[in-house]
Amino acid sequence: MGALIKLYKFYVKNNLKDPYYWFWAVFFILFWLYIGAFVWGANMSIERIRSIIPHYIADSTIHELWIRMTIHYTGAWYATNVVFSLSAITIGLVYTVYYATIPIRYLTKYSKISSVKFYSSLVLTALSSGILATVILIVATVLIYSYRFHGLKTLILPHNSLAVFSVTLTAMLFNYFFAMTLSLLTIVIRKPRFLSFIGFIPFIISYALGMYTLQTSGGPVNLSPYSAVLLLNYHYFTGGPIVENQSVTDMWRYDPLINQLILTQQARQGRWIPLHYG
Amino acid sequence: MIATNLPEIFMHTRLSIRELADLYLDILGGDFDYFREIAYRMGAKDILDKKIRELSAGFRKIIYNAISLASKSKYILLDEPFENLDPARRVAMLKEILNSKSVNLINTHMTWMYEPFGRWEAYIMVEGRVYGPLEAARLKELRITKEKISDAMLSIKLSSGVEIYLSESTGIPLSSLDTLDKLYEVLTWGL
Repeated sequence: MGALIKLYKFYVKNNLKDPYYWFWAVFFILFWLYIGAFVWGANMSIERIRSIIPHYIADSTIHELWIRMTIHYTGAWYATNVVFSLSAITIGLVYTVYYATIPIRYLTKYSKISSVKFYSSLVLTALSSGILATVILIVATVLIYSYRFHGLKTLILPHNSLAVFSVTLTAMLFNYFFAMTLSLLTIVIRKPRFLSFIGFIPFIISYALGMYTLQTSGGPVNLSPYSAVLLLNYHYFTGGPIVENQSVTDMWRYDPLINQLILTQQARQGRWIPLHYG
Repeated sequence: MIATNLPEIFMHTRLSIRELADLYLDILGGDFDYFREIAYRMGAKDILDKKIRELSAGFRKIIYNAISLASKSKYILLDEPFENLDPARRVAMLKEILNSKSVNLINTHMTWMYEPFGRWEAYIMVEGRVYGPLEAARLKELRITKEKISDAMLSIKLSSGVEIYLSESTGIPLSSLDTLDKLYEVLTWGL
């Protein structure tokens, strides 16, 4: 057990000193969060809602609607960036192992550490790296979007933080095992040079399926783990329902609270509130 | 347990030499303090907080040798342990190896070290074939020739078809060559 902990600490420290980890898993994701808040969300404002809602609707209702909408918008960005971030982390970890195949072979044969312990330490490292990136991601998401939409007067917090955290960690494990299996496949088929391509497959798939689920969704793609992670994170972050065959960007329409406000509005005015902002 | 100084068995890491050695010696059941003592004796005290990739070839060799020796494994395989070391450090490293209580296996091209290794068994490897054993100290007295002689202790057949002989009586003394690399040139291009 001591050897496993020692190796785990070594890999975690090594990963924390890896500039690629910080760039791809953290700073690059912060960049996307910034884009989501300040570029794509540039036209979102409570004034915009006020301008399209009849004047007799109470300010408190508009404010509530605004908060719900910003939660959905923030949750969508968080869920998407988690998918991107975790796949980036796993690439780094898989490459760490790939470039250590001889040391691993040597140490598992001639030291106190067995293959199982070695692999366990790597899985723990992946989890730790994922936890750190997730914490940074959650904190950054809450701060950036709360600042952007509410000037930090109201914090946009996840509806169910524990569930969000659990889904993210489960996603980290999936990503790691998937990426590791692919990389080991290159060794099994004796084509290690393919790793430079195969190693990026999880990264490419995460972007493709992540963007699809976010913007289009529906069909068998929703069964993919990447889509499931995105949808679950979105669901637990916002507290809104997951709606089949709806893109994540449109799911806020189905939030019971927002829907109730809209239906009330429809009943009173006989008109539909445009739901797209931005 | 087997330890070796081959660079391939060490992980590429952004951590310091101290941390790398600490990991290896812990899971190999070695002695980190002993590693540190060797490093200090070899004049490598100030480099322990550097990364491996920041070191010169000589200091890398010292660190890999030191980790192997401090592992206190039953068998220690040292690949060219004196390569890239300056003369003073070669002697210092030689002392460390001779003080090791493990079964050491060394491969080297250096001919100056036949004598210190005294009664060690020595093998000569030419073109992938192993010849021997001989007592290391006796290599110093051996001579090499292409002439067929009756008192040859070893005969070596090259892929070119040429056969060469090691004896105590005829040919060029092995000790006159700086390294065994030169032996191959001498054998190939004529004695």
